Amino acid sequence: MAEEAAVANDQNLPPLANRTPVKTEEALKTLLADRGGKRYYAELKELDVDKEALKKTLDMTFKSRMKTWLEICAHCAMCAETCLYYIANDRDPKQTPSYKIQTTLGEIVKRKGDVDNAFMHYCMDTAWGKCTCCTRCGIYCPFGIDMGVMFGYLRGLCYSQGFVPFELKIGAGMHWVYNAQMDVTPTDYIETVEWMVEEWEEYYPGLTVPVDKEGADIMYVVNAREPKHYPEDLAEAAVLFHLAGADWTIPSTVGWEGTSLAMFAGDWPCCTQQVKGVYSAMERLKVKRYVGTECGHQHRATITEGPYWAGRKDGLPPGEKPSLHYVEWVLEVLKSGALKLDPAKKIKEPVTLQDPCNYIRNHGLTNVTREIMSYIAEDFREMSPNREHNFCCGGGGGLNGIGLYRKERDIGLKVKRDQILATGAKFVVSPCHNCWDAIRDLEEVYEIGITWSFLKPILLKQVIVPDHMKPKE
Amino acid sequence: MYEFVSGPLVWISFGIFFVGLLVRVIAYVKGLDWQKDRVAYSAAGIPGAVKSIVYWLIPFKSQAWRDNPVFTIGTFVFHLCLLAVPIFLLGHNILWDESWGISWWTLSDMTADWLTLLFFAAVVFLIIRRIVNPDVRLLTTGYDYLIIAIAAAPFVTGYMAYHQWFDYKTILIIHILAGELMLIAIPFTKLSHFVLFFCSRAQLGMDYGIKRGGRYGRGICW
Amino acid sequence: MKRKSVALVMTVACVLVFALAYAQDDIQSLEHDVFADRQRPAATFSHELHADTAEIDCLECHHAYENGENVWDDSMETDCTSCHKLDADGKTMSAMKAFHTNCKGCHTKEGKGPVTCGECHPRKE
Repeated sequence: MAEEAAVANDQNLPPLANRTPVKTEEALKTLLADRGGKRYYAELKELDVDKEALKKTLDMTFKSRMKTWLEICAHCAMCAETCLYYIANDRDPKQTPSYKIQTTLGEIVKRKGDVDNAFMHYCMDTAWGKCTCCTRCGIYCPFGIDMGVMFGYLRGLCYSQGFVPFELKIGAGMHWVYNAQMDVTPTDYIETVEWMVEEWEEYYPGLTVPVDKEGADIMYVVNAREPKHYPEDLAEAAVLFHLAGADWTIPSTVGWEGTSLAMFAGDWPCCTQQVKGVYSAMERLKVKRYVGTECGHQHRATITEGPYWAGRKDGLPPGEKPSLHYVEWVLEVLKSGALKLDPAKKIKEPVTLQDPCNYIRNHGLTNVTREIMSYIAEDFREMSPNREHNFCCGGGGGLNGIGLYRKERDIGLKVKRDQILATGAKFVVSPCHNCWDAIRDLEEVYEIGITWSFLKPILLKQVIVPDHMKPKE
Repeated sequence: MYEFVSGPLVWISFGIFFVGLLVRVIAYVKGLDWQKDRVAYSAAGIPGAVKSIVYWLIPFKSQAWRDNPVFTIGTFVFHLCLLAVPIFLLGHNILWDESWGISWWTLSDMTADWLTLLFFAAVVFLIIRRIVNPDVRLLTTGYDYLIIAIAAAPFVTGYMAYHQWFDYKTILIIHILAGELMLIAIPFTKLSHFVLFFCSRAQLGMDYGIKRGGRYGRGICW
Repeated sequence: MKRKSVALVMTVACVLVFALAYAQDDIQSLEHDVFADRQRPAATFSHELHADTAEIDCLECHHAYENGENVWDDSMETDCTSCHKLDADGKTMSAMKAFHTNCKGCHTKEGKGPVTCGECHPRKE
């Protein structure tokens, strides 16, 4: 508290709102002490735009793909109906994706970076408060104009000028300092894992978590939220690997964590550092492949986009076998029979499935989750629309964590709420941290009486434990 | 005047049209950057690129076309007439047969006449949509109307010339100029989507075909 | 006022031209039966204007080649479409192409006479 008061009142403190990423633990702590970013946002109102730097960035990075997108847009507004914010905001024309990108990035380009503080605020409000970068609009544009990609780029421009929501400035800072989205060190992580193994091995004799095992088949990479807030998730993962007889390991160094709030913030050098950490761990341990936890944006940041940030020309992460999202690993062991579920324990009540944008629309794992559903649920009901055409949960792109745009996010949640209600199911399988959070929050805000779950707890309830792996009475 | 607009000016406008479009395509491809676009461009992306183009060239093939049936019909009628009428018009074919010795299958004048009216109907629909639909209205600028005007002018004047309204020779000269203006405008304006549509669609198709699921998943279903 | 008088003069001129034309019993248009399904009104053509007034040599249009030499004389076939049919036949041009090539070619070369579609194929009477 004393520290918070000091940050709020200290006149000598350099401005918290600035164009420099947070790269030290000390700076991170100072920023964190500014509760809710009160001082940060006040200072942001005074932050100058470095027009020259903005123009230079444009010259260097704004190339034919986006140039063409902005130029040829026919202003047909077919993208309007595809945007969850447009629908949730009573079809407000100002929520049309094309309008949002033309009035922000389009203007910056037209003015060659000659924009002021108020305009950058408008850009920030639009890039984060009105877009989750779900890229749904892009697949409905006749010209193939991917506005989600452009909003991602716009976020980068905003970030480079210091115009970024408070929590994401911190988020990127966490990655700079801890190579993880939260202040969890590798030591903290390993200790948590060991603690979980101690707690659970009573029920699963022989349960271990192989740390730094060279040449393992799988290197399992998690989201820092798991050790920080949901350690049972780590235990569940360990048990499932154990029961499936997987040859797996976790690194005890940088690379144990695969998320990227830096991607939501638009801090590309930080994205590079983050993903290189994961790849270096894979290379150091000489593992055959990567398996990431039930997180959508982690998959996007580490597997889909990551290779490019790391400068890998083939666009592929390291490892002799393809990297997997957790759902792919689950389907693999269900199909091979390594993990057997008890059909009698299938979920009886109606159940629906959330399609996370980051690995469904943006990684084509569409049929994987559906096949898994056929193993675990008796009455699976599709949302409409679904698969590649799904709507973002409303919490994507970092929206769950941004206090400034909480109101906008909550309005956006209405779309998912109505989709879930229309299925008649009261149980939502959500194999993604952000979707999981958004669905939890939508229940909190709209109280529609649903429950939700990752796959791991469901699998653990239904799995048949072989006799030799059961605890002795 | 007629000799000039139907002679050297045709060469000039077709020259600008073809060279301009070629430059646009080359500049587009040269401006692609595997690392900045985050797409490992390679031949592996070609099926995705083709799929991306085909799904949008066929009415009602993509989900977005199915979701907007009226607009889909309107825009396809507009574009088909815009391409088919001038290219397959008997009069035009006679002219380039005489000048360059090339000609192909032609529409009857009667059919072309009706297609022109159909084209006008599509233009009116697109303009009304711009005025009536609040989303489109907000996005629309004067430039959008100018583009429609550039595309429609050869048809309006062509229709007048064919029916020999007003002073025939003057209208005919205006008609030829309107056509040449359109050809020249294509590489320099939004009309460059004449080729950039294919570039942009191919690029996004490759993006989905290479990076976003095409390699492991089932790839995008447009 | 000016427009009215222009219209008046034009009308009178038209009437005079037509009256004159009928009086002379001249060929007025290239109305040939081969063009059964014509796309445009038949081309106007005054034989007198070309042969008598302009004194164009008959062999400019009429032709019958022997050893590369045009040996046509007025005892021979005068109807163009007796040779030039709707479709081209070997070396013989289609009727439409023959007319277009012959008429437009000469008009262009001489810088006299109409060359645009509607001037030869007018819709107005």
